Amino acid sequence: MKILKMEITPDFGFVPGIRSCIARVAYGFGFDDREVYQIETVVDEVCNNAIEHGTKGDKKIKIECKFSNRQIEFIVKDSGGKGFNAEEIFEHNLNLLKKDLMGELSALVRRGRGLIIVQKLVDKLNIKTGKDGTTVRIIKKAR
Amino acid sequence: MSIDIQIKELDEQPAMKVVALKGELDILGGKEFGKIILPLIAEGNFNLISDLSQLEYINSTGIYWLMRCFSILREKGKTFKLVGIKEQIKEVLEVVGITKIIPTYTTLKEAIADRKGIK
Repeated sequence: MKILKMEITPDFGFVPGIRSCIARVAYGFGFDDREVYQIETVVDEVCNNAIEHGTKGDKKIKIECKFSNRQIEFIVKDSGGKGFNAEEIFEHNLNLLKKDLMGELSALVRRGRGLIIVQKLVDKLNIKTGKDGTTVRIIKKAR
Repeated sequence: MSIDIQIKELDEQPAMKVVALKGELDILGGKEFGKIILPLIAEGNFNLISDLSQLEYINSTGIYWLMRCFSILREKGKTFKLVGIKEQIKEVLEVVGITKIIPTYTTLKEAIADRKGIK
């Protein structure tokens, strides 16, 4: 297993580099082009969420990637935010997706699709959240 | 890399423009895109095609900006279409149902030729 760890101050400017870096490394562990793109997308969404919702001042966000043959485990920990009910968020966003498809304008122009995208593109998604912050843990396997 | 945005007026009636995006429509690229395109479509009176054939990456924020364009144009009775989406990007758009909401085409020619919704 190979491990990549990063600690960043909450700055969106870091995210393109982080997702590219992790995607490039993933190529060496049995993932194809399509899967690497999915990994890049997932890394981007989770990091952006941590920066947007999970930061207190300059408290750092911790990122850890564990690469093994045909599998990546990706963990992002933030220490800010107030925590949230992940199940409620998922249900809320799924309902908004349904409204999207019915063409409801108010639903079309809103944020919140990121977690749905992540959920659909990975094999396991675990979110632990509370007053001390949120940890998102993802596992994706190569087909 | 962020986003390069080129806007071209087509020689069509009713009025139609193409916005070609090159690069990445993520948080940073999306902000740039919104800054340029939203005032244009708010003040203008044209149908819009977004050429995504050189778009390398999109995230949920980028999708949000596309949906904003679609909504504003729809409220104005205008169309918004997507052209030339790369397979990997299409998969992400399909996950959140965007390709069922915004009409998508393989080529610009097809998008222009489809006059559905154009008044």
